[in-house]
Amino acid sequence: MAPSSDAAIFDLYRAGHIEEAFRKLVAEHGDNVYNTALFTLNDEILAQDASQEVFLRVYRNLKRFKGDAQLSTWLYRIVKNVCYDLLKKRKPERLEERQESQLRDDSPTPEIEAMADWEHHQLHEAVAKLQYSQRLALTLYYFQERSYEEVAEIMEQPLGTVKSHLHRGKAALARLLGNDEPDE
Amino acid sequence: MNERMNDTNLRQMFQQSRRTMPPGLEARLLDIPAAETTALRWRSGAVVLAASVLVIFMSGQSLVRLISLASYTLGVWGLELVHSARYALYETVMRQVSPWIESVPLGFTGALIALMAMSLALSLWVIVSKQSDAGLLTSLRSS
Repeated sequence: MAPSSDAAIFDLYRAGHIEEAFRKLVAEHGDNVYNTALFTLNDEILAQDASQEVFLRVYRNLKRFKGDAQLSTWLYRIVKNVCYDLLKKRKPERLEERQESQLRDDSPTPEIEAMADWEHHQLHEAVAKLQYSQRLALTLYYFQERSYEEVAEIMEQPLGTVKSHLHRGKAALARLLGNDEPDE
Repeated sequence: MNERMNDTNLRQMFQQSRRTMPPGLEARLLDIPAAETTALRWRSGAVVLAASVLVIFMSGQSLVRLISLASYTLGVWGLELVHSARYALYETVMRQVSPWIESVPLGFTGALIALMAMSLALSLWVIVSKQSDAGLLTSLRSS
């Protein structure tokens, strides 16, 4: 995440150590890419597919990266596009299955209880109900702890629009999680 | 969850939901350079083969043309098939039943290649016997 490590990775790539640079990139950003995909897609398998597609595109296009933006900004723009494409392609029946199962039983399954904290599951479910731009903005801002400017750069949207996504997303999240109104 | 949400709480909630990438996924990501290199090698091979075929084609001998057409088809199909079968296995089957499939990927790929060879043989037979579609159907029915 740190620009210096991104610069080191890019230098390594330019020096011809392509595989080593790629390994470092996966080590540095793999978890964050996976978690960002998980927040925006709320589907374990899709998040894994998204992560693989992201790094495949990165590997194929790294030679076109000129270093004019930060490597991580470029990387998360790819994450944004890949997750959006996957959401569009997601089979409706899969979505319906999820919605049906949610209607049948909204309590945590033993697997969920065993795998992760119920609160975390609720957060993922709540984020999944937001608009895509809000999900992505919230994930970049709160999960990756990026600044407004960085979020705007990754989302390729004006700063005001990003702030609006964050404000509305936060309000919606507060409602979904049972809080009345978010603190400013 | 009942606390009023401020930026710090939200940040904390998001951070606490962090999960580690599954080891299987990490292996898949780290395999990308090797897989891409292999794919590149197959494609380069196919291009070289195609170029060779083009040269042979221009020699004008019909038998040579036929053989080169067959080898070209065999080469491209074979290479692409092996390449795509590898990905197909990885993507669809390996993830679901990896303990079982890991013991038979060669057999599976072999079966696909056999299928491709049969299809190629049929195509060649059609070309060599110079039969029309209708004639071919009649021959197949009578056999």
